[in-house]
Amino acid sequence: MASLDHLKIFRRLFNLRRACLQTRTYAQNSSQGSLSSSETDKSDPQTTLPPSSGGGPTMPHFAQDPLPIFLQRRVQEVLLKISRLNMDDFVRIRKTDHHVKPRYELMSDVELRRMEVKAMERATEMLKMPPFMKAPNLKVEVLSHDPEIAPALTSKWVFVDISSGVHNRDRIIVVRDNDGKLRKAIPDERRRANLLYYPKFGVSIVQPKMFEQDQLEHLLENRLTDIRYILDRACTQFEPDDPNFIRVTSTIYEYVWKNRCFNDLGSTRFFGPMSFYFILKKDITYLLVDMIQHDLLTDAVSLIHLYKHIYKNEKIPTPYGISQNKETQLSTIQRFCKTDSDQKQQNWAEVESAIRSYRLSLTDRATAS
Amino acid sequence: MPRLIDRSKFVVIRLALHGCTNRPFFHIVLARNRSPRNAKPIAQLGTYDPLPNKYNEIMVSLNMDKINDVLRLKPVISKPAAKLLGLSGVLPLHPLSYLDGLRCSKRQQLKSAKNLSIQEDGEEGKEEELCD
Repeated sequence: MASLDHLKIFRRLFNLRRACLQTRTYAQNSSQGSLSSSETDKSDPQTTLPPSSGGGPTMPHFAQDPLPIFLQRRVQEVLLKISRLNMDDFVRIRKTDHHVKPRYELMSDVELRRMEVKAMERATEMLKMPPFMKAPNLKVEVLSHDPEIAPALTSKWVFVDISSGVHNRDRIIVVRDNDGKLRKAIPDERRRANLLYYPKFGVSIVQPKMFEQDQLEHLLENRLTDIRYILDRACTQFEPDDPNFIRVTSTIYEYVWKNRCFNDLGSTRFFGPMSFYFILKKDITYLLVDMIQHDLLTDAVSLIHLYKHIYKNEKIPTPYGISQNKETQLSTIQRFCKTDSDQKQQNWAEVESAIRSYRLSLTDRATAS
Repeated sequence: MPRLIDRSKFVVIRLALHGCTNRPFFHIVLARNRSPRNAKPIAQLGTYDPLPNKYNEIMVSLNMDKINDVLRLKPVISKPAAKLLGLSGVLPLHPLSYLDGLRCSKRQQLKSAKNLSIQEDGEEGKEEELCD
């Protein structure tokens, strides 16, 4: 398995992703939103609504829109590479796969290798990360105002344009409010209307109970379910820029951070976004410690390069540009710890101790052999 | 004088009642004016669910591509359909919607006036009781 050219597969994956992105409009929407937000906030602050997410952690504060950075090819490459893709993990039986039985086949060596390559490709495709987006600004665009008809209106009227060949994000949906205002629908109304007329398998109009903040915390505290299952279900249920999706994912990332169980998300599509989340939070110490403890120094170094790329605009070196010598890698991590003053001193001490113990184990192994 | 029956023929955008007992549901259709209400229409332009859902929303779907195509035929638009299209902002607001608003506001004024008079009566009665 190790001899397979991972990079080639990654390149193929990126081409696929680019083809997908051209048809979708995630990037366009978010960039427009970020541009218009500053203007509209000044013009009429009354029409902006508060975000609907109730409690729970929010996205780390970051001046820019994170999506364009997240979609950069180099960033994606690094995030995929540190995802700890492991075929044993990948072929695990998922909670939703209970009806799939294993199949046994007799095959020759060549056929087996072919199957392995195919499985590898499928694994990399399933590693496709959900886009890391911020919540859209809830600006209400009023189209017309007719207070004369208001007394006759007892409920909201939602009008959906169901012309064919329009993506859910571009569909025209307008609402006539009780006070006679005709306006564009807010995201929650859009989601509901879209689901009503274009239902999707596995997505319910009413938000499932497990995603409510207190229920979610209850699930996590008592370890009632697999966090991979919660994340997968959230990924199906919500759009990536839904405030609820952001809330659920960041809650789980915080849980992972608190319990130091980063490996639970290994070889899933959420490891990359999780690392990205911690980088935006400027808190990657625990992740670095975990990587050192799992003997993944190359990953740690590339994570540091990513950090520097985002905050100091340094270029990310190519995978061949990172030296494989363990000593130099350790010294890079140490230098990063010393120079980066944003972090708390206490956390850095942990990285230092992890490096020390790693060095000790290296020397032990050398003496043993 | 012979009785003249209007047998003119034209196409019309109107509502076709589907659904079942106590649960109305309408299709917005383009049909010939003399065809039965639920006969096969020339085109279905959308749906209209008059009962508000649990979020207190009345859902209307309109296939705007088809409506734009169909409007070239200069169809007659029935009053309920025209009110719907007016509320949605596709056509200008129908005069009937304004009339509805006016009637409702008048009714509310009447109601409030009645309530006021009842209250005043009650107060007077109380005062009398106090006097006694």
